[in-house]
Amino acid sequence: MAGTTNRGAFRIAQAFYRNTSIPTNLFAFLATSAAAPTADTNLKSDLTEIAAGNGYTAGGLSLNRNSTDFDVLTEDDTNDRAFVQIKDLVWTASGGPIPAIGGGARYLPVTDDNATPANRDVIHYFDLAADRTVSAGQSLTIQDAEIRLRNV
Amino acid sequence: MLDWFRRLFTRGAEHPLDPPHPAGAPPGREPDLPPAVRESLRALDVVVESRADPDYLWLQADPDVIYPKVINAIRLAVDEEEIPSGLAQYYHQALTLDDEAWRWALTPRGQCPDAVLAARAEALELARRWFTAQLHAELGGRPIGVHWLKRSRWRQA
Repeated sequence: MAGTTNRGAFRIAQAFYRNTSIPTNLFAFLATSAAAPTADTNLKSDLTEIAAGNGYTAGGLSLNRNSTDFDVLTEDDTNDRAFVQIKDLVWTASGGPIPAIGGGARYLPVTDDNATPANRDVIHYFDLAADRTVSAGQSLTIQDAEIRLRNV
Repeated sequence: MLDWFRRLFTRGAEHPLDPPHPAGAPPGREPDLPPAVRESLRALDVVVESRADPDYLWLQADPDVIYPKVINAIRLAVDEEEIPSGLAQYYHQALTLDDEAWRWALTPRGQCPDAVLAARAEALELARRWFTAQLHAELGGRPIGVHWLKRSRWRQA
């Protein structure tokens, strides 16, 4: 299940209507199944990031707020909704598996860029459906992660 | 002065005579696309939509045209066990849907009993994502916007 947190909806509204607290960039990180993100999740520290190492850097991948990193937009008049798609995200394991130790990657949360990683607001989240691990030399690719905005 | 001169003779995005991005075009003017790209767009039954969005190539998709074609393509791929390049995740998702879901997907929303709506919506959503991925790949991964027109018979909910 994918979704936008309430904090994320607030941050988006704040950015759009008040032109304030706009992050320079966003981060997509991998979280274990220890804590599932929900609409009520606020901070990165509410979740458990996978172990860093072997090609995975703590905090995740940086996403620029541009058409390269958010490369597909959809406006759906039939179903009254819109989507923003994130470019394909790739982590390649080198020298050992990803995660280096501990539980596999179950969720892909997207955060702002607060200088203190633990305090980053969780804006969106995606369920990867199962714990994901990759061995050295393999890549973990998250393709076409799509943020949904619905007019209800 | 020197900066201005350098910009004028640098064939980059800052050149005053260049559009900000080759993907887009001002409203009311068609973007300048290579013939091969235009051919791909024709083959995929989408038309270019002019928007004041220089970073994305906006395309208009008519559900009446797109969904029947894409659903047939998905069913054919599943029947022939042929995984289209770059669409593996959608192919595997298609394997979880039965013929009934696809049949209801092609049935107008108003003629569907409530009991089939969830499976029908899943099939239509998969078709939308399959098509979007195919379109994006066909255009070499350039930033695109897809505008689905309003056709209530294809409404999911």
